[in-house]
Amino acid sequence: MGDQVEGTVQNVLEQETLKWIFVGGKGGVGKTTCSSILSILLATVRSSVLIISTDPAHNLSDAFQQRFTKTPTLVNGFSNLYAMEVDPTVEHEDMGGADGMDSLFSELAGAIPGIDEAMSFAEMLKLVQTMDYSVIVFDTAPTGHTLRLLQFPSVLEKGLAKVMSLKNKFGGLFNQMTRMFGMGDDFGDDQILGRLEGMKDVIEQVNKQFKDPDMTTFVCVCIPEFLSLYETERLVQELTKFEIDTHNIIINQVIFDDEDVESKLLKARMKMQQKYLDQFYMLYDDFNITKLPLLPEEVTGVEALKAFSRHFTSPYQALCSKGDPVERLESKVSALQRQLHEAEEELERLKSGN
Amino acid sequence: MACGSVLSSFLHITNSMAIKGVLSFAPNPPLLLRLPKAVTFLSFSASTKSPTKSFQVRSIAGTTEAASGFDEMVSGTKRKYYMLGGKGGVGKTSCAASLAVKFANNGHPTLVVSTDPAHSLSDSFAQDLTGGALVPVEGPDYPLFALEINPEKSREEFRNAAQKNGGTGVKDFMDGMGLGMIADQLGELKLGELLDSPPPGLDEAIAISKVMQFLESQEYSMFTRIVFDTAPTGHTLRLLSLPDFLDASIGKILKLRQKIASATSAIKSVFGQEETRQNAADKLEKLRERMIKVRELFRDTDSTEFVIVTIPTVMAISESSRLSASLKKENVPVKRLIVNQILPPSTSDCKFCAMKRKDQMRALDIVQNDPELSSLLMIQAPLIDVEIRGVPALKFLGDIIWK
Repeated sequence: MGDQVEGTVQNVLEQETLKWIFVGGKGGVGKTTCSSILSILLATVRSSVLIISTDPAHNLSDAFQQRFTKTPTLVNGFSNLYAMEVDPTVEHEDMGGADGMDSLFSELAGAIPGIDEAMSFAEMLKLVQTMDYSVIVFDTAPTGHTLRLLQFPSVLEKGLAKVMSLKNKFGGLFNQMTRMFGMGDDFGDDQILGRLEGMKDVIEQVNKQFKDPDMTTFVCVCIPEFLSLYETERLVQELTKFEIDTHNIIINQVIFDDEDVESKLLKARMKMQQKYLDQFYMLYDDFNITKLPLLPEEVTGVEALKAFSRHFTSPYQALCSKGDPVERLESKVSALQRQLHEAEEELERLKSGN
Repeated sequence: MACGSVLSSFLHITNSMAIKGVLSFAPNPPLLLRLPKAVTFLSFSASTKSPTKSFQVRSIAGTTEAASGFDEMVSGTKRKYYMLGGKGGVGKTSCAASLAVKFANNGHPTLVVSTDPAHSLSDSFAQDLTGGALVPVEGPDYPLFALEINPEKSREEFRNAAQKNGGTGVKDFMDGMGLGMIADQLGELKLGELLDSPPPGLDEAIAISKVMQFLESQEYSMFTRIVFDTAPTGHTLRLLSLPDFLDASIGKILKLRQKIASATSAIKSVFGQEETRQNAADKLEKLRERMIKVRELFRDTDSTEFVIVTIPTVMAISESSRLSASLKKENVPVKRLIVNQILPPSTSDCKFCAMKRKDQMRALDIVQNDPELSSLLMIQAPLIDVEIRGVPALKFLGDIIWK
């Protein structure tokens, strides 16, 4: 995708053909923050954006400071950005009553552990397809769960092919035996198979789209530490096996050599991080690597997410590396003004006796 | 406020000792570390513990209350299980490994288990522990073994159990009708491929179940403390509902088998066959029973405790609160919360650290006011400036957290 390997996610914003964007990585590296900001940036260039959290430990509501459910909800302050939190699990509805031999295949399919989850995910994809969003961002669970999720379309496609083949081979025989022994007339009662057949086209389409680098890409989020580097490598290899495109890595929580960073503790951690940053650039020389700074304050709420988003489209510059003393002093003045404001607020609270 | 100031003072000392402590583990420890040993010796003479090969190096001894109640954790020789879980990336593995080292150094033969495919235990101990077998860890005073479960093997076990049962059922049916050729074709469908990715949480459940089987044997009956480094929150939540999930699936399979068996009997009577077919022991049924045992273990308040690990950010605290609520709803005993990566107070006036620490204190206030977390015993662990790898470093960390 182009000759230049840039240090931003601008390429994701500019690729107008993208429909599915997955954001994943090791736990605790800032996936939700990154996927939230990515969806905010996409909302400025696309007609409609939906961000979906598939992590059972949902954090999307925390990131946006707004309660989301399993139906798309408009994010406060936006007209084209929606969010939802889904748990790809079906409440176990008992397919009771199908006592005939014709239900053999339905029960065989339904008995496969995990297929309920896959069907739920497929139904969610089908629903999202009909809603006609311009782009869908997935805030995924830690790596292992994500890899499982990405396999669903392929697994369902395989499963459907096998079950259909089984039915074609033996369906007629079973029908005869059913009538011979008078085991009920539930011929048209294959509930699970019916649902499976109905979703077959959608699943095939989504599976094809997931393998199309023009329509789907995976953004890996990590931090400059050994385990995160290891997990990223594992993730990239699995994605390659699944034929899912990935060429963006976001390295979060980087400690830059700022003027504010003065303690020995942070200096030591900076040195440690540099070792792994070098390895990232060596391993992924053809990836777009975006480095995000470790902030003293947590990024939650739309305003904080928007403020932080500028690092996604412009590489972060450490303050002391800038040659312009005017800009440096302006940054210092802003910081001092903020501290003064906080001190004044504290004073007012003390005066009012709270 | 007094307690807070004591903690601040403690963290301050920790900061100054961080570099010295780690750097001096290999060579002779400086005089600064000898004094705590003396204090430990005094406290040792007052207790009735069995003698150990060396005394503990404690950052603070005798001057503060036991912050995490480690005496309670270490007392008694009855087997106890500790599950450390929480949000991903907060240091669960370091906390689990340091707890295991501390147990071993206090006279308990200990087993530490991880199901993390990223081999984080190997990273923590700086020793290759892969291979899916018990590996002795070098360094502690008493036996310490580590086990990294191979998820692929767990998957195969699950796949075999499910596939064999289903395949056998259909094959029996076909054989009963004299349609062996069709049964062979059926085998080619390889339905087992559908089970390549078992549901989240199953890896952990099979690992715990396997460890329980290990411990029932005479060879491994010596372990009195077992520490589990569990999966990120999402998997843990799924793990708690796994028995219900498997009940649904296995129930369907068993019903299917029963239906096929009755049909086979009917057909056999028509064709006059008297052949009876011996069904092998049902692996899936055994698997379900093992999962039920795991579930019961999680709710045993006498021998099991779940420790939540988190970091001082609003999002991580929120996730820990939800995890605690879910565990309570499932009757899993939780007593302790570890808040990791806390910035120690700095003597220099680093602006970044000051702002960061203020942000962290805000998160700690949320813990104090949270209805779920405020009832837990909170343990604060500092952010260390070097990577915690190897038994000496884990011992150092363990002496800070578990006291």
